[in-house]
Amino acid sequence: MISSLRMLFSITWVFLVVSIGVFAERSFGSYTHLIDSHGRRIPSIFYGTSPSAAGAAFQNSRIMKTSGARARPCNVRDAIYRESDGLGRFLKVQGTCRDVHYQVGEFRSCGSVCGGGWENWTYSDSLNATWCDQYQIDLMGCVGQCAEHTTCWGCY
Amino acid sequence: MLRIGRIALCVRNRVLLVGGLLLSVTLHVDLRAQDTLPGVHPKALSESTRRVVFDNGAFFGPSAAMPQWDHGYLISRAVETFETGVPNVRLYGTSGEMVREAAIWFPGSYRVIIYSATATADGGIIASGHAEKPDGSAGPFIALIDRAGKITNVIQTRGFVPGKVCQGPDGTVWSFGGTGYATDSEPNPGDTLRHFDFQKREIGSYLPRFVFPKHPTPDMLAYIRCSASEVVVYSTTSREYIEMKYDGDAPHVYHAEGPSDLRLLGFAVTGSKRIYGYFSLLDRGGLYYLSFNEAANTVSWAPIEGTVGLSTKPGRITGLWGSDGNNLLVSRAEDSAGELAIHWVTPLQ
Repeated sequence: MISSLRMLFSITWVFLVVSIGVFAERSFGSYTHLIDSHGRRIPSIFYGTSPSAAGAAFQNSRIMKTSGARARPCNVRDAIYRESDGLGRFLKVQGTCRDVHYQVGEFRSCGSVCGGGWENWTYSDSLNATWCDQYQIDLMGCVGQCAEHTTCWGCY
Repeated sequence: MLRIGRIALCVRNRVLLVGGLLLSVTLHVDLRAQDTLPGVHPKALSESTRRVVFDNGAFFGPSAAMPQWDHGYLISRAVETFETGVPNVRLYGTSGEMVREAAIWFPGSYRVIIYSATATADGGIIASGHAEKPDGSAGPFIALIDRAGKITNVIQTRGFVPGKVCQGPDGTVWSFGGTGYATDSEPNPGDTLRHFDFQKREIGSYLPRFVFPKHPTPDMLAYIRCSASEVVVYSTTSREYIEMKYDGDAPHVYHAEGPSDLRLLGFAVTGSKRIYGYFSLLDRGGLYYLSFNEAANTVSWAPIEGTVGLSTKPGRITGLWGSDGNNLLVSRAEDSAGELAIHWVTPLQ
């Protein structure tokens, strides 16, 4: 009886150890060497970071956009997100900065669209841009003078 | 009166003649001085020694940025990812097909942004970016991913936004980036060029943020490459070329104006002072090299003959993806596969 109990206890113990190991691997962190810039081990990539109103606003605006929420009127300060794909090639061209903030620029290939070549586009990044970093539309994209989005400074 | 007028005309002509001669001598001396300076003055490009057509996915996809060649792979990255398990860095081998991919994600994230990615010497991946939580918290990182696609090492670089990364020959990582902004839109203090060791910590930092213009961040549309002896950076927004010897104490910064009406869309290094850039806008562009004038401590972008002009004309270069030894990896106008076809060419002296 005692030996049976011991065996049951051992099996349970082994099962627990294995389960914890698998859980730890799946939850990331235990098997990854994660340090801060001083070399100290930290438990999460977010360790020591602070909430940001701009970052949260970006996420709220995206949630509203993707879920189709129309619950509240558009708050310009919240309207900082724009999809990085799906360039609006047929948007009306305007020279002025648009009210979409915290924009950072990148280049990408036009592929077979607009005769090929390259275009500028922007995405939201509240860590490396400011409220005044916005975007504008010009006709300098791809080979065929197509609409593209470039960063601009929207505060004067 | 007429005589005085003739004398005045004669004097003016002689002054112009002497001035012209002086100018000519000065120009001649300058040109001779440039000829004897160290550096590379490529006159043309060789024929293609190799051509590989890459998979469409290397260039296109949701939020796909421009790929780059490093350590034997074409590295493609998706800037934004919104869920775990979605690959955001892919490596393409010399057959043109995808050979490896990584889904870089951190628990608790709402979005992960990949700023830059490169291949390691042993076929792994180094990527920089930041992860965001729903409350707007953002953790900037440089991550090392092994050949199986597993994240093995991460350095959180809080206070530094690691815009561009490359791996030095000793396995350490160099990054050129920003320091973020305070609530008054002023850049935070800190250095822009940093050196990291995954096993240790940040092991070096150089070039304070204040030497660059406040806006935009200097790493936006910038390029970084680690060569055998140095790390080099070109900041497109500030037009600064930066060289940092691995055994040096401080970087050397040159101002380098590019062709004013073109954009820098590709950057490659084949050795010391052998720096190449692909400039283009609309249907014009081509390949340029950095011409060094050490005496004046200046550099300038100069065109490589036959490669610059209307981008539909045969012989023109329409993309620069990196270097492989002494070879440049370029796209050529005459190739019907467009930029999907990458050619290995050598700059000829």
